[in-house]
Amino acid sequence: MVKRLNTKEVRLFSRQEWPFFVIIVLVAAGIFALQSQAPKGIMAVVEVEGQTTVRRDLAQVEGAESLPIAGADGIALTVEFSREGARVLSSTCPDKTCQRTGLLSRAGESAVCLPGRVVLRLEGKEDRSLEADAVTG
Amino acid sequence: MAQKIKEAKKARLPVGKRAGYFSLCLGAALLLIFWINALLHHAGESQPYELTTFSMGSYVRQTVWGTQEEQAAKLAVQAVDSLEWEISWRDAPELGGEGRSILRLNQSAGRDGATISPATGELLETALALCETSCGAFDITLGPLTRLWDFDGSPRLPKQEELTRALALTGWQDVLLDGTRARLARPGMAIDLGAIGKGAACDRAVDVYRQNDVTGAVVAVGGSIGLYGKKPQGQSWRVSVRNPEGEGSLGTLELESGFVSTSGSYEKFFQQDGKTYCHLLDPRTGYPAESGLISVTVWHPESGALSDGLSTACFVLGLEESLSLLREYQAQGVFVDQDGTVTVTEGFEDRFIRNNSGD
Repeated sequence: MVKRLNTKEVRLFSRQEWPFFVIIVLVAAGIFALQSQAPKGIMAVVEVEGQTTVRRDLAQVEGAESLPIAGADGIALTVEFSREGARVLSSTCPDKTCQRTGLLSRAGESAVCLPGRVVLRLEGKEDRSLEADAVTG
Repeated sequence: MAQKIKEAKKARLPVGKRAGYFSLCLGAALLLIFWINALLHHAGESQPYELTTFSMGSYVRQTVWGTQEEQAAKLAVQAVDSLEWEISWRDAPELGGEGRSILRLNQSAGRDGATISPATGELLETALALCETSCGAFDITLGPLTRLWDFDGSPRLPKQEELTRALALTGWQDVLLDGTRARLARPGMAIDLGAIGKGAACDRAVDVYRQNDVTGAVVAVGGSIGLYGKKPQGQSWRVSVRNPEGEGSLGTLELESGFVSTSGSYEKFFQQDGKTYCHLLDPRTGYPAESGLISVTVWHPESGALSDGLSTACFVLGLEESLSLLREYQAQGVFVDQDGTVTVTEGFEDRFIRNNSGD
């Protein structure tokens, strides 16, 4: 014989269990607050001839990580990613302007290798309002 | 008492079902939290269309918001390419010569001149006015000199007699302009619009945005920037000024609109016998300008060509004389001298936010 429960009498959780839910909500609110205050992550982007070939989350980089990039006209570059930023470490291009740009550390900054048609730039992962819209110089 | 405990047990679901409901509630709570979080972080944020191309001997980066943003950005690329075709002095016979206004004008130097496009005519008019106002510190007839120094190819220090000969072929007063007809008075003269071209390219791109329902856009042609309309949430545009003395940014300009360009001695240079030669030539001497400045950033409210040309003129003139020139054009500027001293014009005092670290 199946014993049917009277739905009016059913309580999902007892009074003793409700504080557990309050704790969950408080923990969630705490995580949310921490997340709001955390610095926004930065993404390093490499474009060759206008096409994105590499996207690297700098927060995920352990130490310094270098990567070879094949630019246009046989020009070879090496870019380096670290938690501090990204840079063009070396380039076989004649002018080395990209290399001289040095370390990029803020969203919106970029290093350009014109002969190799390579752009290394940093972009904010989330909040665009704080990053530069463009760089002059 | 025993009856009470029995009632309480009866009122609760079996353990398995309660665990199920419990997981459901927990999942729903987490989903809600992520949803609110996403909503707060991306409220009202529409994604722009971003495009990087290469033109004018530089890279062209566009960020465009609007209803037909992709189409507008692509049309802007065409407009910039078309400008380059019109104003470049470099010959490429395999591509034909139609529409090559400046090349044709240079080739006709000393003869009866050439017909130029109306847009090139307007640009020349703007440029010649700046040549005059800057007392020749900006000069569009430096073609013979820039070819000699060859900063875009294999730069070298020319001999004094070569410089003297090239200098004799310069002089903006000998450009005769009448609408779409232009003439260079002496054979061997050559116009080089390199000091105004990237800014003019920003003008072309902004014209395209205006005609294509773009709500907000920023275009960067090398170091020249054009700002159009508003960002989706109406914030100011933020233009970072490169630190001429090292890595990173000198500071940030917060602007509502207009055009920004920078001329800096660090952009193109070479060293010979321990001396550094930069690409910004003084039309009066034929040598790289030595005004004590290493970087000049100029904002102009309406013209990219003027912001670009003014930054070159100011670099050549030096700080003191630049201030009156900028006032004449209702422009503003940020100057960095050899000692690293940064000077901003009055209108930029509240708009230029210096990086404390200087990095």
